Amino acid sequence: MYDMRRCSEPGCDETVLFESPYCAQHHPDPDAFTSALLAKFAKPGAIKSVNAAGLRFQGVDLSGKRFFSCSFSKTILRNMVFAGCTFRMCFFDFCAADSCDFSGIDAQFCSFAGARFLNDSFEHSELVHNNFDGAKMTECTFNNSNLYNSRFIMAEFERTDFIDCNLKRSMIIPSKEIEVSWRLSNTQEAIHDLDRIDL
Amino acid sequence: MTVFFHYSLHGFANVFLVGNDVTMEAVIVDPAAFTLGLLQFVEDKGYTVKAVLVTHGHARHIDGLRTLLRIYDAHVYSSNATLGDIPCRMVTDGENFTVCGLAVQALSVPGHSADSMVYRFDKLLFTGDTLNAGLIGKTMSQYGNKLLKEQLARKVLSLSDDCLVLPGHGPPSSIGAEKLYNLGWKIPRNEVEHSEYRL
Repeated sequence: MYDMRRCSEPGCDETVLFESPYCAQHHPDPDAFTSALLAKFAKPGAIKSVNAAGLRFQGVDLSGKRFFSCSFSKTILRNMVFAGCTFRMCFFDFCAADSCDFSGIDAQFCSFAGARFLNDSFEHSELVHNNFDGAKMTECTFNNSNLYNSRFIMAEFERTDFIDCNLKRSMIIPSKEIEVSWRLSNTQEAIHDLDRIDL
Repeated sequence: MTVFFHYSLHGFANVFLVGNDVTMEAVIVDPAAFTLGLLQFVEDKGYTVKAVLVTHGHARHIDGLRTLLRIYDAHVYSSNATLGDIPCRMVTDGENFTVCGLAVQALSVPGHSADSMVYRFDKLLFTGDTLNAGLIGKTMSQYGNKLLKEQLARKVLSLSDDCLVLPGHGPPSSIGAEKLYNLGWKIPRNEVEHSEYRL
């Protein structure tokens, strides 16, 4: 698990960035820190227990990388390429992802709760056991993906497609749904109301 | 500290392994099943299971306990004195203790069941069935539902927003996300009352 120490800034309760005494807000040079982190990501091998919460990433190709127990909470992601990446127990909650490529990813037990997705692709992905509660998706595509046991409670979908997806055991209780296609997906196997939940 | 999750098809429950990377001792949280795959995983990582934390005594969270104890000499921590004929080290509300060199706080959160506990490892919360992504635990009565909400609000949602929620079922979440996107605060399960619950 990533380092849970508190930021050295007095009164700050945020967890520290990877191998740093500060959180993103109080780090003296977050841009240099981000560059150093990307250099680490560029090396071969799995990326484990990295806390990058609150940083900004733009225009970097991280395709095929494997992330374990990492935090990208509250990050800002622009034109990032995560195609074919593996994510296990990673946290993207409250991140803002604009024009990012998540296609072909294998994400299990991850949280994207409260995230904002604009013009992102999750096509052909394994999205098993993930949390998309409260996520706002605009002009995104999840086509041909496996969403088994993932949750979309209070999510907002706008011009977003879920064509030919596996929705078995997924919980889809959105608060907003505009121009969404579920064509060829097994919507009858998804859970749409609380009466069918037995937890 | 390293945390691994294992999805048990028995009861569709999550089993967690929390490892101390210095002592190579490990804690299992809620042994829903103890399969060959999980045993192989523990052994491959080089851990010895020394403790088991039980969030509550429902079968789909403890059915692997007997098998686990045949293999490992582990202490079982629970709010019950025994689970079947297995003796437990009883934990009480607010109690701080150490397992495998890791500091844990036990929080009693009744409502889903009378014996429900949440285990807190710093900013990691093993919530069992009390709280899971977008939902609170199923209760048998309006009294249970109200009690569960009160206990969660007082003991769990009062923690910082970046605390991670690792539930007994479904994907992970965070306290910040649960405050905003949990239907438990919006809709009572039994639909008797419809007033929004105030945290």
